[in-house]
Amino acid sequence: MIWQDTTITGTNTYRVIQGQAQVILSVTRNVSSTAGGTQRSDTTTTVNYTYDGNGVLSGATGDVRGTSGSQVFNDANRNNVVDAGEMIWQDTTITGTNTYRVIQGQAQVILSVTRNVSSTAGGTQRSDTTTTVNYTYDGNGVLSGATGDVRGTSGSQVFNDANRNNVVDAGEMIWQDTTITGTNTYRVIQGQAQVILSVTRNVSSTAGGTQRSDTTTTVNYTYDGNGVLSGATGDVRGTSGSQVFNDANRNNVVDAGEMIWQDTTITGTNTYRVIQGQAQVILSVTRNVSSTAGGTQRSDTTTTVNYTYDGNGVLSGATGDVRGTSGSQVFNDANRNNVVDAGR
Amino acid sequence: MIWQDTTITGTNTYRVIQGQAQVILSVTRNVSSTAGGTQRSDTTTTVNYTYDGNGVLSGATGDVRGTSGSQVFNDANRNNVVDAGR
Repeated sequence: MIWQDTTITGTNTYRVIQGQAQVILSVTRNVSSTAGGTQRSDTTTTVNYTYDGNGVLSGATGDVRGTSGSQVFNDANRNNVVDAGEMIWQDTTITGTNTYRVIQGQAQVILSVTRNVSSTAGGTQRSDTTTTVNYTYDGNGVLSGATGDVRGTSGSQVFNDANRNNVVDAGEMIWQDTTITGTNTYRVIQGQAQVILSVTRNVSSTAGGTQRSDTTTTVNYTYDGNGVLSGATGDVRGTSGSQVFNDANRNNVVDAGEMIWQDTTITGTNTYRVIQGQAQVILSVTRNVSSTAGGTQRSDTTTTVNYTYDGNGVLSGATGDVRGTSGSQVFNDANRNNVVDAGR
Repeated sequence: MIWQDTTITGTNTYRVIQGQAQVILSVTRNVSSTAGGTQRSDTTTTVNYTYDGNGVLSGATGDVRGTSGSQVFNDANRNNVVDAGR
């Protein structure tokens, strides 16, 4: 257990109301980094307070601006060694609004809406998500619960070799985005709303619409008695599919209705380890089961990936394997009558 | 109609590129035989994936090595009968 400190600097602006100096504006900057210096955060929270004619706090509004970032391994020279300059920052821009309610004379956050926008150094991956959290308080103004959700997109640039010349021509790097929708369930531990369950659905399809994926990732987080993240477990469920040519009338032409979906059922488990306060996937085991529309071909494979991290929680490597079977139905003319009899 | 299955075993080798674990080498072995055991196949497919400096898949090369076989009638004693071991 190590300390991870945040440096706080702020200014408060006051107005004298009914002979009392009341804070009407607070601007607070929070700067933190992990022990190994591989994660950082720098955000500024602004709160405007309003008072009635008697100097009683009547409301507050506020926002959050800043960045958070992680160092990632950019193996620029492809030698699989972390050389000088190959750990680069990948930052996220944070903008948010907080809605307050005055409870027992205190301005309490009842709704926070935070947008996180990030992209990789080369600009080939991007993410834009908005997290909403609704906080509830008991009659004494003590935080009693929270609910929330996540909405947004993430995407990667992929090579769309439209002219089939195997060269990346102008306009052939296209975005392939994933729509993200999720819900977060919180529990109040030591006065803080902690995520104990996140359920996130990712839906994507390729530009031409010939491939699709729809998966839901569930993560259960556990905390120790002090509210410190102590572990996580999770799974993945969903489908992925491709359109295939089903030449039903045997004319070798793609007629209407002859492009059909061939889906794969995905079930998996993720094993996590808490590193530098973050739950990191160290093992993923994913089973893919598929069969063709007519049921004459089938596949059942399990892919295992072991992830490794350095002491600072930065992904440093991975190994994996695939095990399974694939099969086709064949005509076993056991009785030699040249007819597909039952069971033969 | 009977199922004719192939056993799949493989290893994937990853490299961390732009903070993501990307497969740079996959080696997959497919082993199958027919129900009656008269045909068999054992192949290994190797794919090397390449990525550009931004971690985007830019190409792949690969090969397949292996054997497939069928049992044939070797009428060694020329009696036109499938004798044991022939």
